[in-house]
Amino acid sequence: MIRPSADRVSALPLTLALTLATLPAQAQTALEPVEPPRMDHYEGSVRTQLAQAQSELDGLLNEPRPDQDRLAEAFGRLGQLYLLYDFMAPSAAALRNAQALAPDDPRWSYYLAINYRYEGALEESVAALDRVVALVPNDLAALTHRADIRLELGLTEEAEVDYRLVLERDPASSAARLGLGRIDFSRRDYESALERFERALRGQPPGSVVHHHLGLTLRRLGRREEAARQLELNDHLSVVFPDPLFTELQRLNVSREAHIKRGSAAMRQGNPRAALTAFLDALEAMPDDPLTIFNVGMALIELGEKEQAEARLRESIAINDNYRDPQYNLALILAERGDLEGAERHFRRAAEIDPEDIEARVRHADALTRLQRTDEAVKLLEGVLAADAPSPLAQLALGAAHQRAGSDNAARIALRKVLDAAPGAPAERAEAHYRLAVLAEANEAVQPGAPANAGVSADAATLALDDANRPQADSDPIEHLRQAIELDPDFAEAHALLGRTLARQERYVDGARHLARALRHDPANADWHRDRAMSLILGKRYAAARTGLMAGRQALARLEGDSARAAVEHLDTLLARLLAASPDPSVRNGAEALAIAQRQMADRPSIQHAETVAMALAEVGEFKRAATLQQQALDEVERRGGVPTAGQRQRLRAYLNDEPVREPWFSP
Amino acid sequence: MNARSSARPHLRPACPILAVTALMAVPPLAIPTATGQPLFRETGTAWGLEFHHNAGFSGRKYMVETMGGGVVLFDYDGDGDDDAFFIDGGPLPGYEGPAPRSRLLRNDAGPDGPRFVDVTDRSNIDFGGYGAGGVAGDVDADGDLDLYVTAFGGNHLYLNLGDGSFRAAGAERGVDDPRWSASAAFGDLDLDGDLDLYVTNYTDFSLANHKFCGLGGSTDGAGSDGEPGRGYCHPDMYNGVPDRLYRNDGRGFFVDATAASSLDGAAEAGLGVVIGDLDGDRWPDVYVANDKDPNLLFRNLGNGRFEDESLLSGAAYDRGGTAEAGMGVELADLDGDGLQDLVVTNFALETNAFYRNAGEGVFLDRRFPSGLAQPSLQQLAFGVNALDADLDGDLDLFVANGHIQPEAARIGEVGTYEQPNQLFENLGDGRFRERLDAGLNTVRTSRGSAVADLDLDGDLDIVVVNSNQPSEVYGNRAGGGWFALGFSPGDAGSADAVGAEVVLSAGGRTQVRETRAGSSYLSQSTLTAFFGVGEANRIERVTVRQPLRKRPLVLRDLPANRRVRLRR
Repeated sequence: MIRPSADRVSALPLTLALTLATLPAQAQTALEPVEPPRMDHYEGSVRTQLAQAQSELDGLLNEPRPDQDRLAEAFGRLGQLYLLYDFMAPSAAALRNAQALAPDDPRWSYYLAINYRYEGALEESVAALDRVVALVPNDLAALTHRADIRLELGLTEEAEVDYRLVLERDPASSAARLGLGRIDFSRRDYESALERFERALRGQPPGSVVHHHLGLTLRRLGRREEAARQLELNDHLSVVFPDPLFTELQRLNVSREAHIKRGSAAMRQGNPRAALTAFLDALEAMPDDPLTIFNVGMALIELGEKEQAEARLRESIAINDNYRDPQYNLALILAERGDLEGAERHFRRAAEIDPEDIEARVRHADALTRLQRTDEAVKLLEGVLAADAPSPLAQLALGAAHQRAGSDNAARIALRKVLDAAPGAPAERAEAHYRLAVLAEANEAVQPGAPANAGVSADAATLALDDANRPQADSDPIEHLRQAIELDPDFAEAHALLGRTLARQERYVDGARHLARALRHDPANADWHRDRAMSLILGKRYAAARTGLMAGRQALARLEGDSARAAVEHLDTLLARLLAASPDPSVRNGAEALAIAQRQMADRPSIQHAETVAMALAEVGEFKRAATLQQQALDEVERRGGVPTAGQRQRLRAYLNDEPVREPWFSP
Repeated sequence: MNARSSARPHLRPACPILAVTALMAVPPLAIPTATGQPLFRETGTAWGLEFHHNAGFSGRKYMVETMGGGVVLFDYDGDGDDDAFFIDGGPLPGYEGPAPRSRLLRNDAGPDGPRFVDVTDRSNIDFGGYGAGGVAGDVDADGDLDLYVTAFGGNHLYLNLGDGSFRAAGAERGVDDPRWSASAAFGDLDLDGDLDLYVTNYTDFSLANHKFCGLGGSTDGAGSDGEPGRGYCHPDMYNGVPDRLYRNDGRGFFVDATAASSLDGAAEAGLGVVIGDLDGDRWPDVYVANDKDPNLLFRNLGNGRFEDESLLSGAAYDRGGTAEAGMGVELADLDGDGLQDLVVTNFALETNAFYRNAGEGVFLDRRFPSGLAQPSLQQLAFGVNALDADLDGDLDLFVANGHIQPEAARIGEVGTYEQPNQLFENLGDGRFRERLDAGLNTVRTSRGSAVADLDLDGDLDIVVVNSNQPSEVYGNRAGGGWFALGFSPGDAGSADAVGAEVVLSAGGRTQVRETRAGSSYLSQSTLTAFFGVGEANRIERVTVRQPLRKRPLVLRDLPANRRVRLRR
């Protein structure tokens, strides 16, 4: 790698000054020193490129009578490169020199205009573009830039002239139509603006900012709904137009950072496709760079290409095993797809690389917990907490580890510490409340009525002391869940558990409401659909139950796999029974119930499906067939060594008495 | 059990590479004005109005350290002059030093000018957490101004007891939002005679989910120049958090009405907020400046609910349809057409936004034609205040600037960490010109800013909070005619005074002001409406429309250079 010496770079102004006397009079008066910028934080490839450009210039300046065209080219190239890498002041100086030496070359004025525009010197930018247009009247890119800047400056008449010139020469120019549309808009000629924006959209990619202008125009025309739709379509993509000199400038870019910067900006704007392109460009500039490969991986993750992403992260790690973030993110991917051993390994490595990375250490412990290696997890977390006592994330993970190990009291103590932790950790506090609720629920299930602090350990004694001060703290799952939701209104699992807990207390409608909130975040959760439907049925909200079951069925039908099929089957059974036996006549639909039940019976014959068919047959008045089928179901139960339930016998009696069932809430 | 894993996983982002231009911020030269003196001069020391903000820097680059603090200029003791409450940061893990503490300074203005006395201990205001911003209003309708303080991890309400002390009542009154809050604003949103409260919440950053964000593309925790490579994270690294609207029950107790008011749809990174009538229907609306999220405009439907008009209003994005890093916001009639326009301060290279109110809730982005954009290209702006600095009858703009990355210059960010603040002079037709000769000479890392007539000379002075640095106080030395309309102690800060519209006609010019509790960035300016009237000796007419009064109050033929206080 060639690194320019500091002496050589800083000597340029002096060399320049000595050489100016040898140039023609016109150039002597115009040339100015080019102050070299600090480049120590730049990557080697860029420094090398700039050093070469400066070296060429130096060589010319050291000649007794340098060729003016070549000198202009050398200044211009240096100015281009400085512009490319955002060294704006030296870029402007170099380009002004190039322009002075070669006033008939439009390139230098053009790049100077870009420089000025970037710097916010809009009038100067227009003046530079004036020179370009004077030299090349048909330079559409220069005309478009000039029009855009004039529009920014409020010079609408002048901008309009430029846009019209562009449009005359390139009738497909979206940029010109967009500009003319904005001028129409500013003149309140909304109909004309609308037409122009609509035409500007043609040939532009989806998500163009033209949607923004189109939407605002429709709003001014009173077409609010259309306006709202257009505004939603804006994905912030700029209108592009052919700009050869700018493209040429970009081609000079050997900086990985410039591409990564572009990619990072695209990522922030939610455009991973553009980000990927930029990161791949960066990779071309520096093929074995682990950071760039990591960024490619991140863009792939955003695009849902998890396998490719994983490969890129592994590639990045293979080059630099000490790079923490690919280790960490690879671990996350592995954990997500269930490779807990792999996740544990990479979280461990991330934590080894940066021992102060609490998050990596805690997730490492979490992976250990999920691998049932809870002793190791607890030890690790105690180490984290010894170094950073207030860490609520570590406390939370410690609680989870104890919970997984079955040490409920120790779990409660750790989780309580999360609640007592410093402010600013609402997510962790929400989860701690949730876990305390789970523990309280489990406690209730195992030892109904037993005190929450039943135990003999020192931890339990502490707990008992705390309980005396906070009687509700651990014993009331509902209170914990409400607090979890207060802290994190989008906490789906907390809503679901609260819904179930309320339903168990026969507060069915409240329960169903929380299950609905949970489903907003995970519409394909079969358990929650089932629980919500049962809550609504038990709460006598039959119509809502039917709607919910149908929505759930629809959401689940999009999924593939055995478990999804089983979930759909389950909801179908509930739906068929509701349609067959709802006490609300407006909900009952025997024919539909029968169709669903018979389809299920044909697909997978079972006692459960047979009973559902019987129920539907009774609803459509075919009591005899219903009774026969129900009897067969009971016989099958006995044949398998079981004893028919009272409900099953009762339903048989009903069919024999020509009565339908009006109790849809027995769950399959 | 259906428990989640022990914490929600966040992918670590692709390393942001920061911009690569290193431009030195040059302090403006103080060019003498016609009187031979710059318009403003630093008077903090002379007035005893001094505060040193403490960001609690930990060395770990916690995102909250970038926030800085705000200032509330309000007459807490009802003696007719505005006092100052500065909001301080807090200690973070790794911080070593004295505990930061927010400060209340009482203005004992006398014939020799203002003299501020630190009355923090006497006030009992001491919340110990990491403060951010503040706002003042009479929430319990007892005739004095109460104080609401936003913070990282639990907001605070201090009820003014009327004897110079305050009582903490955030939890009791239901406004102790535990999330990371930024700016807040009071306003009677349902016009039921009490002050409601809108609180912006920023991101779900916590000490627990603190992420590594690199400076300059570092891959191994070290920058390419060998120095530590950790930087402050971009807000996109965390999730935005929904704001909250609290409705006052008339006794100063609040109910979270966010969902009931249909304001729960957006979870953006909120930083600035103003309440005012944006669509001319006389119902107060809400506008929120969000950091890299679309700004929000909620139109008050008058039935307890709001409609999200953000995109339709044209004030959500920049002129190209892209979200910007909104920080502070001001709402004022800047072009003299009687409608309230919006100014939003943004990140460097985005430029500050000027959304001209075109009526009926439509805003036009006029930042470049107004002249406000170009001078703000290199600045990272936070506080913003409309004031008639030169008393010539139109509203000028003050903008407080400062970067968020202390290494900004070293890593090639646009602009330096410390940046000059700016005054933009209104040329009278909605166009502005930066006044480099205004005397705003101190260059620090500014955040919140507010204006009030602290020395009671009829013009507005400026107070700026600087992140982890001493504040700036600029005494105004304008010499023109003026007029001020406020409300008497006991009425100022009431639901009928906050949101009042004051229209003044003098010297052939009509001007409009609205009183506002909460604007700029994390701050609040005076609740008195100030006007410059140039050479005019008489005020022809003043019309005051208060939120709860059906008929406006009209005052005629008043002398200039007077302060008028309305009493209920």
